[in-house]
Amino acid sequence: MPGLTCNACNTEFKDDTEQKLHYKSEWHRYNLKRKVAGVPGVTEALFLARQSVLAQEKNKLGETPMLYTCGLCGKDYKSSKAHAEHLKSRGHMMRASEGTSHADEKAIVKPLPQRVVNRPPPRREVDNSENEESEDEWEEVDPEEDLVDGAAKSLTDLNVNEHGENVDMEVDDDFEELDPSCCFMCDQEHKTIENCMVHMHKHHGFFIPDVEYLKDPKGLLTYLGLKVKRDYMCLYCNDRCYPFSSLEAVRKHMEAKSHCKVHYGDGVDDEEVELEEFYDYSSSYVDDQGKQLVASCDASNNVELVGGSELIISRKSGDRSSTKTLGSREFLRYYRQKPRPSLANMAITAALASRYRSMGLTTIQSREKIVRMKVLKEMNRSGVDNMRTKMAMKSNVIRNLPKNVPY
Amino acid sequence: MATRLQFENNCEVGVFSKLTNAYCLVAIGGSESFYSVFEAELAGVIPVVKTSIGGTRIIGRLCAGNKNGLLLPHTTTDQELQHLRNSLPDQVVVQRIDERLSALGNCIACNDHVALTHTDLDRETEEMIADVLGVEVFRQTIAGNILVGSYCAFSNRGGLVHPHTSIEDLDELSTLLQVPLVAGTVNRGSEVIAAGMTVNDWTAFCGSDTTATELSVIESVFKLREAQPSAIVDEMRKSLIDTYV
Repeated sequence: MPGLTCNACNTEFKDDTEQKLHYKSEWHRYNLKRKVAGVPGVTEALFLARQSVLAQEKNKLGETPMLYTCGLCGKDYKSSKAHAEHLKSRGHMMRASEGTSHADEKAIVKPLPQRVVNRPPPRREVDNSENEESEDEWEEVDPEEDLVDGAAKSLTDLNVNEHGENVDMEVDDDFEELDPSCCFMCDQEHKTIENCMVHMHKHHGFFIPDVEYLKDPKGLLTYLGLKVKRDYMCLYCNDRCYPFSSLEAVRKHMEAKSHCKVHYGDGVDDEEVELEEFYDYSSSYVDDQGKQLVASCDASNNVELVGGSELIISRKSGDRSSTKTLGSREFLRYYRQKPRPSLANMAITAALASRYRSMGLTTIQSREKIVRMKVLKEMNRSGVDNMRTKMAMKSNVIRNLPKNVPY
Repeated sequence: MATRLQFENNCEVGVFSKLTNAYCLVAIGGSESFYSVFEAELAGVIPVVKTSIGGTRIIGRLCAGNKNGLLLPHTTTDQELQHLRNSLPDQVVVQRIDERLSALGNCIACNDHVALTHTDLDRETEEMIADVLGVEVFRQTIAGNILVGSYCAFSNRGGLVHPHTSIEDLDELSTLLQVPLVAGTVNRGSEVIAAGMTVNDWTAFCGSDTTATELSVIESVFKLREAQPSAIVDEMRKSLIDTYV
């Protein structure tokens, strides 16, 4: 027969009462949990020892801390052991002896440690007051710094306000006397307009497009200056946003967003119309080789074209003007024809030649070409022998054609 | 004798029912089959009560009871409490317990004389168990598991415990409970004994997955074949001997 046992605690019991009491004990619960965790059980003595250790730790935590202060040295200690050690230290001994030598009364010095133990509350109050004083000191420094910062800020504001006021007064009073050589971004004056433009380009990134064709730089700078100083408008994006509230705002915006430039050449017609007054592009109509482009339907041409498929290049050099004709390949077959001139043709040619001589045309080659075209025109009008009388231009004859091309 | 059944295609019948010597609790289900089997076996002997606990149907795992009383968790509603008090016999005390471990069926395993409890139950709960159920309370573990109510099922005549229980633990538990114990399984090898079966002194209900071999072990250890309700008085127990002395 198995006896009354507890396998978790490895114990045996004599009767039921003892077994039941055991099953209600904390020891049994502890061992049950250890059994579930796979750890062997502990004996009752060990369990009691562990419980006592835990109880001691709890008691230690519950104790209130004490403060020990040495009156002679002015030092505080949190434990009696440290205080006792301090009493044995050299510093305390020396000060104690000095005190004795000064006072010459041993009875007064000796009871001091005992009194110190009785004084923890007032010492704590003193420490608290010292902390409060230090806090007050910290509080006193900050307001002064704030005052200094405030003064600096107010001075800056005053400067800015004065600056703005001056600018406004200048704009209002001396409207027409705005100086183009004065930078409208920082009001720095220069001797000449070129220096002002160089300064604005270097310091503010100001750029004027198509400077070569700028005919009125003074007018342009005056116009832009008025736009910025009087109207408070950004030069680049004033079409999308409203005018700014002040001159400083406009300047900050243009500097921050790099809008210190002219909104010109970006496809906005309104802007270009405004600024076209200061530009002159007429000189750009000439080629690098000095040749000009002429529209084929231009009325100023002295020569009329046949069919509208020919390009005439005219050159003007002083009083003289020369013209060249470029024909289309479409009429190659007619240009290659070389009909024989008749006597009537010769008479007309002579008459025209005399006319052109009186007009001042001296180039024989060009005169011949013009004469031929005139003849062609009159022949077309009359309608007589069109095919036979069409003249070929020698300069337009294309030679060295491929072998498979008959014409 | 032991009967095999299932609750809505679930073989864990111990989760949805609680069977004692004085009453039987059955979960409210959509089908009457589960209730009918209990009614067929227990009609005329003890009341079969349909109920829910805290709005759930897992009543077998939430309450703990024997012929003397019934313990319910704090999640039980007042309507359910009143319904149970109205339905159960007068000598059964219905009590609601404020215990953080609210699955009382998993924490407490009891018959009419002894109860094994979870090691972390409060002392107040332990005292209440002793008072309401009229049992002696022992804190114990089964095969290294603290959920004693799930891994064992025992009545006043026998008990079935986790299959991994050692022989020493079996002897100790047998001494505590004063009934023979056997290590076995239900529902085709499931070691969660209390979830797969519910038993009292003369009948048992198992999941439909329980094999014939498991059923044979259950019938032999709980002495169900020769069981009669009046057979309790005929057998002598140590407590009865103490009473006579």
